[in-house]
Amino acid sequence: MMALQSAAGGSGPVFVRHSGIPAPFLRSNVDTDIIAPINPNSISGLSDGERAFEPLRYFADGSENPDFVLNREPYRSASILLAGENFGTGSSRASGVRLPMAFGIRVVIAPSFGPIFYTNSIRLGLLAITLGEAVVTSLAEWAVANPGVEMMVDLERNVIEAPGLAPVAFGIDPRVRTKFLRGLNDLDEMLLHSDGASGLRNENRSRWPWIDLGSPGAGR
Amino acid sequence: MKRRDFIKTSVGAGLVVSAPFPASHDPLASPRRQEPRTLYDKIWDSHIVANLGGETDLLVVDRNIMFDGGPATVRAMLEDGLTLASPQDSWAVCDHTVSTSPNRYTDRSLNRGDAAEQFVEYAEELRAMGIQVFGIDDPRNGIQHVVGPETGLTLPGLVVVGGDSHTCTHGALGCISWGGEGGRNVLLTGTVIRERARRMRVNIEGRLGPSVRAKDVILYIIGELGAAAGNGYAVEYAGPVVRAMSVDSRLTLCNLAVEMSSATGMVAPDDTTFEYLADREFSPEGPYWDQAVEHWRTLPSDPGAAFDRDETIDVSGIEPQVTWGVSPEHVVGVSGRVPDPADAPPARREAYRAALEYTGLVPGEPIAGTPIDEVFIGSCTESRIDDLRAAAGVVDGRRVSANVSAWVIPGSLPIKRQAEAEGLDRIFTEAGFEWREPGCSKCVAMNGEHVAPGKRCVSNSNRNFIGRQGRDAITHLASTPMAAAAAIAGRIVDVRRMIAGEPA
Repeated sequence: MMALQSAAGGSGPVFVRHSGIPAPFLRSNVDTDIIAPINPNSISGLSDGERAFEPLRYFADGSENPDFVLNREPYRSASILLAGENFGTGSSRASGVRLPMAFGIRVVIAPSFGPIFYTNSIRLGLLAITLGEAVVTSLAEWAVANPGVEMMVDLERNVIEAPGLAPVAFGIDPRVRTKFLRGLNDLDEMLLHSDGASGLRNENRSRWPWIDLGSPGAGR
Repeated sequence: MKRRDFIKTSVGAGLVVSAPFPASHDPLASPRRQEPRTLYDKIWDSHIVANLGGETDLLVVDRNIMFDGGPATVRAMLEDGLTLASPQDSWAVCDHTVSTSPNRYTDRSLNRGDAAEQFVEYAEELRAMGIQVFGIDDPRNGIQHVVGPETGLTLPGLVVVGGDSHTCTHGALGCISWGGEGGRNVLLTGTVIRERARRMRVNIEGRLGPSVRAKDVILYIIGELGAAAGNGYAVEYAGPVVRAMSVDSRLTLCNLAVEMSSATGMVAPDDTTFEYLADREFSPEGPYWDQAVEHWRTLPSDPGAAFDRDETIDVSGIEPQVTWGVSPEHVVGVSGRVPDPADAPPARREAYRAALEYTGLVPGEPIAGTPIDEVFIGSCTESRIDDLRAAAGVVDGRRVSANVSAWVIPGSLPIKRQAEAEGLDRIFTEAGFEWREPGCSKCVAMNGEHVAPGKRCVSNSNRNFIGRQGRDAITHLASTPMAAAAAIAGRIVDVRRMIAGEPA
């Protein structure tokens, strides 16, 4: 669904709705060093998708940790991650978003996200949905009770649906929603305002000339 | 939300998009322009190019901080025929991938990857565009969040962005700063798209005990409020304890804002700030200095300015802090005990259990006495002259424990020179510490320097995440003097007892 060509006006991929298997992973404060560690372990030749959540997925000898949710069926093919509080806390690395996407994750639903992870997600096309902790827990309980059954995230109608589950409405920043629905990217939007930007920049620099490193008063 | 009808707009290389972007509006019309305003809102409001709907604005950027990949990014953009909007607002320093070995200048292969050499190769071209470039051969080189403040590239009232998440550090001088901004769009437009954060104030009150520092204060706050407490907020640290702090200490406070999930930490500028900035290389000069200070004095939050969340934390009587787990909120005072997951709040129980499994500590045991293998003193958190002096004060006349490998990494070459002029380097080396060159090193372990697998490190840095300092490395975050004391004792100890000569 993500890979629809951009017929909707933007230059990026379009996201309208997505159906996939949800995986419950409610641990709080899952940080970017867990999602996308900088220091590779001893296993070589892992693909980006195989490296996602590497410290939890593999033991030191390189064998898989069978207890980790994404190593278990049917969650090996999960594309919706039901996550805990403050998911993605930590560093600004884009791999924190890219690796889960390479694994196949298209939507993360959590009570809250690390602030930079959230903005990276929006930029890179991973839909991050914030819902109350009790609601995320109930979705996770549904996922456990219905292994392998797909859940649908509909961004057009702002609702999550699954068989036997009362529809769950979610709120999302209207700008983010439009961006996903139409495949817009930030640069298109920024360039629309380039005259205003240079105007304000010049105005601020005439009020506060020392800001401008090219001005004689700015030191050096 | 106001919304413009879909209009046909031509952008980029002949690409035509139907753009449903919301209308801009006059920021002067925003109710937020009414007094009283917060420090954050004053700076934010003066940088709004356009409102993009809801709380999201397009802001003009004053400083764009690039690091190791920066020069190559700029070069690639130039090769693509792109024009940069305001290159003189960008500066670049090489810190993540460089070796901190004293031999790095002669044996260039010690630096990981190509960044250090790209800083040499592309320097002339970038400087011709007005971009300040600090490679390892530049006497101003160091860790970006140390270099910005100490050169005066960071000033009150600015909007400062960068790729690195600890860009929040710069807010200590009274600017808005945050990390995670992709370099290309900023370079192309001189702007960023950003949602205005809610405002949170943390009033820090009381009196700090001896050997209790900014690092202990911020770890204590994160322990009290939780690692997610700042989510969605810009945090202003305020109150008498902050007012009495040096700029070096305020930088430490703001450095860990992102560890409480706030991308932006700030301290209102005051005389301490102005004294710090006077005569820095890029600080305003001559008549501009007085104008600047006059402007900066208007920035602090107005009396009665509304904060969406207002916390008051009394730090009287807090101890030096040490982390026991894998989140900065997993923290106790040095005379405290490792918590039992069974006693933890239910939502935290599983995380506590997993943390202890990783750090190998036993619930109920005192944290002090835990044997350690390595000590790391450095990082954008605490590698400034104040920090090094405090560590040297503990180390002077003592010896690093025989089974501990201990490093000291000054945050920049100017700090290294200052420390050497004061004889601090000899105090460290005579005690058995390695005295190294500036860089991020084992804090993020991207340059090949890391804590050995399975080893336990007391680190004065900012993250104790699983694998952060190296595969299977265990990190205990603490203040710089606490790290120094641990190096000497070979275990986690109360630095106050060591200074007092008591059995620790």
